[in-house]
Amino acid sequence: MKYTDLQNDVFSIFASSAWQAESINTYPSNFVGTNTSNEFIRVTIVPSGPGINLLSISGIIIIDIFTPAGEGPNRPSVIADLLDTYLVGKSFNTGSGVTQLTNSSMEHRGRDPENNALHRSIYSIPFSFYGVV
Amino acid sequence: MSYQALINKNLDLAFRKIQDLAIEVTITKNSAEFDFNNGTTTTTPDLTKIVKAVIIDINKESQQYDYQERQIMFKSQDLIDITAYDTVTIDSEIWKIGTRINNSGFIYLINIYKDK
Repeated sequence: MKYTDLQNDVFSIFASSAWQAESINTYPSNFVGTNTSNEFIRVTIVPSGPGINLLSISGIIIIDIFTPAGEGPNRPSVIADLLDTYLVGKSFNTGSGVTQLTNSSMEHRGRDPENNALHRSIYSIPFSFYGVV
Repeated sequence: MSYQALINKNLDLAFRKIQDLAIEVTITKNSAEFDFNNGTTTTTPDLTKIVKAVIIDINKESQQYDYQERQIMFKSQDLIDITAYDTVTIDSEIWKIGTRINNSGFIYLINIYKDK
């Protein structure tokens, strides 16, 4: 179950008490819920690359960082640095495989087309998931 | 009488005049939270209210998969605020509210969706 194991590995980061203590509202893709903050992140896993065997896969984790529009790039950069401390170069193993993350990159995309009150930056980090055959 | 009160009064009258064209629907306001520990979403109904609504348009799409879309209208004064994570129940069937919610201040015009 490479997709489920991969997802559980990634979600374990954001389920950790350390990340919860950062107090940044975190949502997965395809979640519609109650958000009362104008600063939050949305995590999307894109397992679109090849793996070393049939139970392995690679891809990219895309994290949309939403912050108030018009307040400059500082806050998204601070959140990206914070994400780096939890993600860059880390390995996770909650199931039958191991997820390894490499280095991150970031892009400021400007105002969110769906909500012009928010600025959207895209933080992304490639991963490789190694499943055991 | 203020214009706002006048309009709302006439809306009440209009909804009574159209009789059974205004049907009773149940709006359920939900709150939802996602738990990264187990990857599940917990939806909690916070408020349920029965309001009169008028179905404006009905669409069915039957290509790769079947779904139904309806456009419905109801009075803003019946419910102060709705969001895309709320639901509408019509004849015991639960419909999801679309992301575009139009509220003139007097009338809500929303699209609702359901798998066939």
